[in-house]
Amino acid sequence: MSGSRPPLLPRFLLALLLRGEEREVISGDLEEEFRVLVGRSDGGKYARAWYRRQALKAVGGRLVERVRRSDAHVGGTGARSDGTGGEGGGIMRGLFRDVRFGLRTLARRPGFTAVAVVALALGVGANTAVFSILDAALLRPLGFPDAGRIVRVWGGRPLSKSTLAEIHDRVTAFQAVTGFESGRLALTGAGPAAELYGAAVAPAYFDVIGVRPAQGRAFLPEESEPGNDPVVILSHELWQGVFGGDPDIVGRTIRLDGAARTVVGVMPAGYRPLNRAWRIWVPQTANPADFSDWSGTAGTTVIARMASGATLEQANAELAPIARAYHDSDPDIFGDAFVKAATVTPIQRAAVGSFRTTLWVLLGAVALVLLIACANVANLLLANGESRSQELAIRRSLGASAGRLLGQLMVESTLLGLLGGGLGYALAWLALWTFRAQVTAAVPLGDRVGLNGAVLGFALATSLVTAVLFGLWPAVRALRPDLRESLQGGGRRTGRGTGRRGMNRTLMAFEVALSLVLLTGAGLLIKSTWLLQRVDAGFRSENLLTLRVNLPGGRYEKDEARVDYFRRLEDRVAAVPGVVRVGSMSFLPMTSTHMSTLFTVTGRPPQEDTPRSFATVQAVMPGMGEALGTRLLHGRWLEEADRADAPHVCVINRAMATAAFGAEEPIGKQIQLFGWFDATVVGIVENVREMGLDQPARPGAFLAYPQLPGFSTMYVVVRTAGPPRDLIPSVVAAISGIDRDVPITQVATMNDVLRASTAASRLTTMILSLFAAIAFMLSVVGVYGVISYTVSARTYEIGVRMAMGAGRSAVVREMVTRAFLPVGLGVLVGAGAALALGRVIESQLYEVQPRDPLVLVAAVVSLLLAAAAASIIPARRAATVDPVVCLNA
Amino acid sequence: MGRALGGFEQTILMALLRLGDGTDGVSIRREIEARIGQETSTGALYTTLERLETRGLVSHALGDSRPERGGRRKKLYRLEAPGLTALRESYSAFTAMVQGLESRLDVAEEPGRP
Repeated sequence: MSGSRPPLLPRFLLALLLRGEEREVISGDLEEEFRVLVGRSDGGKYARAWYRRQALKAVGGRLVERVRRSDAHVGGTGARSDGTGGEGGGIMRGLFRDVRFGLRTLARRPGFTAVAVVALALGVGANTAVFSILDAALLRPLGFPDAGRIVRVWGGRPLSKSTLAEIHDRVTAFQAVTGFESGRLALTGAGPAAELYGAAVAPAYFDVIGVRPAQGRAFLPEESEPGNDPVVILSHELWQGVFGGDPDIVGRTIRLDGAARTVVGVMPAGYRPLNRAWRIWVPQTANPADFSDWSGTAGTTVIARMASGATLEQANAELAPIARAYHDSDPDIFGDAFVKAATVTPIQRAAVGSFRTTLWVLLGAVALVLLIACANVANLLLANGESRSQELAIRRSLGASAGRLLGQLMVESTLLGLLGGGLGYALAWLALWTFRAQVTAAVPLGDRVGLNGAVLGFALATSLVTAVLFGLWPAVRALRPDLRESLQGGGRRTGRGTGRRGMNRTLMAFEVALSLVLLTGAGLLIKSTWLLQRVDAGFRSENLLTLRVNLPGGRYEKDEARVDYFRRLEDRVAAVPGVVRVGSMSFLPMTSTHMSTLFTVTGRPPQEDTPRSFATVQAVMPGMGEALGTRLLHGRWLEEADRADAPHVCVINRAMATAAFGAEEPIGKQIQLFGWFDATVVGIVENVREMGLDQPARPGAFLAYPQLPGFSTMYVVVRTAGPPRDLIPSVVAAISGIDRDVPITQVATMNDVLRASTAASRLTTMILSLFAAIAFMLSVVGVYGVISYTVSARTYEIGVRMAMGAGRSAVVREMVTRAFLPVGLGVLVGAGAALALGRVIESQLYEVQPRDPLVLVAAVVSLLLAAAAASIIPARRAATVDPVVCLNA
Repeated sequence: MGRALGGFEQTILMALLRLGDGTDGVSIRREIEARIGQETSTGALYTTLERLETRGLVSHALGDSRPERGGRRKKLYRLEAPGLTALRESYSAFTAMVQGLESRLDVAEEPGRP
């Protein structure tokens, strides 16, 4: 029975923190009472709660008591230097004493403490939040056994199955190699039709990832033969969800895309697939109907497990000859990019992709924030040390050793570090919690972001190292002053300590420089995001509802059935009140799925020396052009009359008209796509940025779906009169009314789709702006602190000068001028650094030069204005000094 | 004479007086909880007892180790003469101060009092 013994942790605390008889008697009492209480009817719940409460109170109470008593031995000055004397645990006693004394010192200067703690908290908090993202994306291994040995092959390019076989045969650096194709299958017959995202996997897939089904088995090699494949493996979530955790699931038959498949296995709970949306796995069959060696946009993504001891370089060296052989066979299709991509990438790095760069930029930025926070704290401690030099001198003259005082000052800064770090950790938690949706959406592997032991360790280490390093230095300086002079208060009168003020000003310049770098970086990103938001996507995104339908196989095997379905869909949806126009298209802009192919102009022989051109291809139903709101520049849109048996026609975009025909009139000319599909150009439309707002439009052609009806997955776009969200229920009802077994997914407004496509860049911009704002604030506070400290340290001197007849405005002017020397220096250095570092974020920028002069000027001006404001306030205070009062002081 | 007794100190001394010499911490705590009806912290109890001991108001002896305490010994307390004196002083100070206030404090007067 677990309830018969008191809870472990409180028991451990008692044993750890209480001593001797005290420990024996209190633990004994608590255990005795616990045994009585545990006999109650609630199974020991009350007894455990009681024990926990009592133990915590006892431990807390005893600690307070011990500190109180140690204080009785110390006396106010803390000058006792024999930190080792006394009964048992002298060091602990000394520490308690210092902690207590330190807390009192901090509490006596609430302003100083608050500013230092908040500065540290902002620095540590921002760093902790970014570190937690870094940890999730790059540091913490993915949940596969020996995940570091799994690699993505050929840059994730889809390869043909024969290439996969070739890699399998020729690369010895791989212990196992496999491929997969992700896709969607419609599940019917188990509740409403559901679309499941999953992967068709080649043999050895489960050997490569190193995870096998928890129930049942993995696929057998023969199940990759055509016709031998009606099997499926489910995810644990799918089994628990749709199938209600059916204990007899293995062996059960389910219907996917209209065909029966037998469940042969269920993956373990908590298994996170390569793509976190995957729920099912089916064998990838070598279907002869596949476009096996087509232009490289369809095929199998290859992954492998490295043989033990094999290096990435070895694998790359073995892939290179395979790539060269392809290149030699057809340099157009297998161009330089194809050859260059013939490498392996560790799977985690591949998953994070280009976000790595973003992450390093953020990490660099956040490190600058921390440096500024450190400079701020160091400045505060320096000023603090100055004002305390008299106190320290008195204590030394009473016999406190320098080491003792140093230890005391270190304890103080450690306390600052712990307070700042604790608050920073809380801030990081708050930030991650507030922005968890954005982080999950925009960060690869973002669902793994969270605070854990590693993150806590990082926060703790950062804050302690910061506080101790930046506390030690001012502490050493504070202990150095001439004893006699400090005792006489000479520092204040004769203007000594100029060296320290010089240090203050250097730190201030440093802060200003760092903030300028961050401000400029944030400014560049803000400008880039602003430009991106103003990009003309080539269609009207407002009042547009989009969704996707996936026609399952079987019933929709025939082309006519699919074409008929979409005709009926357009009729039904058009009849819904509030709908203006309906269209269907094979790929939705901004979702980065697309299809591209080589094209040629019919009757124009391909030139030997010019590279062949690619065009993106869309199959659309007639209503699409008007529903999407793409401008027709010339000619006509596709129409109902462009039926399967009518002459093949196409509408091309402006980019293609230029690429294929230059100044010639394209209408009436013929182009050839896929090497076999000839179509006459009947219209030219404005470019649509299909690949994303930041990607220039490529040459593209729209074909009539009835003439190219191969797609079973189509996007439906609905132009609405009012807010599109209001029409979701009626549109979905109209579509499912046609055929309940057709899954409807990705229902969203086009504005949402657009927003999602820029989520990552907006997140980066937002985070960097936040960092810049923190840096800006910290450096303004820093400037204010240094100036007001200078003013207070020179009150005497100012008093003398005003007594001699100096005017108030002259005093203010001099104070501000002095402040501006370091600020100006900081701006100069910062501007130089910003110009030099601009290249770092170049990849994050859209149509903004990293040395954009406007952004730099704006950053410099705002920083100067803020610094001026921050220095004028304390400088004016200097001018209100009453000479009589300060000279008598 | 030392400083006056604190409230919790009085409570403990009264419990000890009531239970007699050789009472252990558990019994004192149970007595206080039973009479006042509030959970009392064992840690606070011993901290206060220790303070009373340094002032010479109580003393303790160590008992035998007991299995129901996980083999640990207990402290058996005894009220010393100065403790009794201090309690008496507290009592007279309290009654002197409280006299005539009963109706305002909304408590019933004890029978037999003038």
